[in-house]
Amino acid sequence: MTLEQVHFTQHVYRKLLDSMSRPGDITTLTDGENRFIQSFNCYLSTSSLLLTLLDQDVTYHLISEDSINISTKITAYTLANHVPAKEADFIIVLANGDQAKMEHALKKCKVGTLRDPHLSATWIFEADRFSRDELTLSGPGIKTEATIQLQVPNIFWDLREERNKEFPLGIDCVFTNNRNEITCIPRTTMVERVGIK
Amino acid sequence: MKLTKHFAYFDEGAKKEIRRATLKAVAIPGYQVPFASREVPIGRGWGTGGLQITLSLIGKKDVLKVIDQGSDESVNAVSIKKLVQSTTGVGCTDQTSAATIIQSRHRIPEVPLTKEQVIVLQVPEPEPLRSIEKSEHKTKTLHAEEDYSGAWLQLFEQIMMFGRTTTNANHPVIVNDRYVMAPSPIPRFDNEKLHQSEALILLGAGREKKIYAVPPYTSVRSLAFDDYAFLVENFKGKTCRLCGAEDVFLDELVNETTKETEYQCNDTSYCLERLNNETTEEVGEYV
Repeated sequence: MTLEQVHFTQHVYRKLLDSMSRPGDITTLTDGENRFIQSFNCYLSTSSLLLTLLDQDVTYHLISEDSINISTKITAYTLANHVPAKEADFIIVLANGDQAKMEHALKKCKVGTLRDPHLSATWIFEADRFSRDELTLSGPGIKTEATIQLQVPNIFWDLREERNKEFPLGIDCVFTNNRNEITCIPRTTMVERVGIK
Repeated sequence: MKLTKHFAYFDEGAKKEIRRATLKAVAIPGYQVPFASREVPIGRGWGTGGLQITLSLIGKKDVLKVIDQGSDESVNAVSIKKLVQSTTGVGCTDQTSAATIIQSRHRIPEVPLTKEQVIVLQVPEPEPLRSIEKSEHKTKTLHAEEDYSGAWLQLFEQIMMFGRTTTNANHPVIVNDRYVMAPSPIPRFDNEKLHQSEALILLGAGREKKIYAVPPYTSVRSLAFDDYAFLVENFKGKTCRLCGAEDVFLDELVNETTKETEYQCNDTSYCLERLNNETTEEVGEYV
C-alpha cells in the first residue's frame, strides 16, 4: 500500500466516523482527485469505504447484477472473502442490486447476539441521490431531529425496523451516492416515515 | 521516498481492526467492543487503549493535545505526544480549542469541546461491574440481560454505611438508557460533560482490550437514587490561587511554608490561558 493510500483511508475513516456519530448528516468523502483509488465498478464513495474497511479478517456479501466479476475484484484488492448473506460482516448493495436479493439478505443477515451485539452486519447501500424531508431521524448523535430522503425501497425500512426491534441487536447502515457523499443510519436511530407512524 | 516506519506507528491491518471496532462502539453507545489491542512501546495500563485509538484516528492535518490528570506537561502526556509526533509529524498544542484530537487521562478539559473535536479517554478498568463480578463471561451476561442490580446495590451499600455515595472518580453512568458504563476515572465533576456532548467521546482500554464510545447528543446519566441525588465535588467559595477561577475542578494543595490549604486549577492549560489573557489586558499585546 502506498503512503497516499494510507492517508486516503485515514481521511475516509474520519469522515465515516464523523458521519456514524451524527446520523443523517450528509458528508462528502473526498473532493480532490483520487488517482490511487481502485474502482470496483461502483460509486467512488462505495469503493473508498470498501478499501477503508475490508481486509482478510472480515467477510462481505455483494448484491449486484455483476456480482461475480465485482466480488472477484474486491476480494483480490482487499483480501476479504465473499460469503453468503447470513455470515457476512459487510453487506454491499450496489445501485443495480436486485431488490428480492436485498430483502433476503436483510432478513438473514447477522444482527449480533445479546452478549455480542457488535457481531452484526454493516450495510453499505448505494442510494443514488440524497435529499431532505422524507425520513425523520432521532436518537443518539442527533440534537433534536434530522430529516433525509434516500432512494431506498420502502420495504427496506420495514425490514430494518423488524431486525432492529430488540436493541442492542441490529444493523448499521452507510448509504453512498454518486456524488461521493455518504450518510449513516446506525441501529440506534429511530426512522419515521412521513405519514407512517 | 523510502520510509523506515509506518505512518502512525501501526500497519494498516492493525488500524483497520481498531477502526471497525470504533465504528461498532459508536453504533452501540456504552457497549464495550473487544479489540485485539496491539503492542505499543509504552506499558499496558499507561494509556495504550487511548493511544491506539489516537493512532487509528490521526491524519496529517490533525492537531493533537494530550493531557494527564489535567496537565499537558506530565511524563505520561509528554511521552505519548512524542511517540505520536515522531511517527506522524503532526502538530501538538496545549490549547484545548486549537486541538482536533484530545487524548486525556482522567479529565475532560474545562473549555467546552466542539463538533470538530474528538476526545479520547484512557481507561484502566472499562467494566463498571468488575468489583461485583470477577468473571468477564458473567459480566457480559449481566450487560446482555441489562441486569445492573449489582451496580445499584453497591451505591446503596455506600449510602447505608456512610450516608452518601462514596465514589470518588469513575462514578458509573447509564448511556442512552441502556448500558451502564465506566466513564474512566474522571472526577464526578466531569460526568455532566458527557451528557449531550458536542464532541464525539471515545474510550479505550488497552490492557483490557476494549473500545467503547459515547456519540454526540447522547443521554448520559450518573447512577443515583431519587432521595440521594448525584452530587459533584463542591468547590463553593474556593478559587484558583493563580488565576482566581471559580466553577472549575480544583486541586487541593498545602503550602509548605504557611501550612495553609490552597487551591489551584487542575486543568493547567485553562489556567495558563486565563493568566495570559489577564497579562494581555494589563500590558497590551506583545508585538
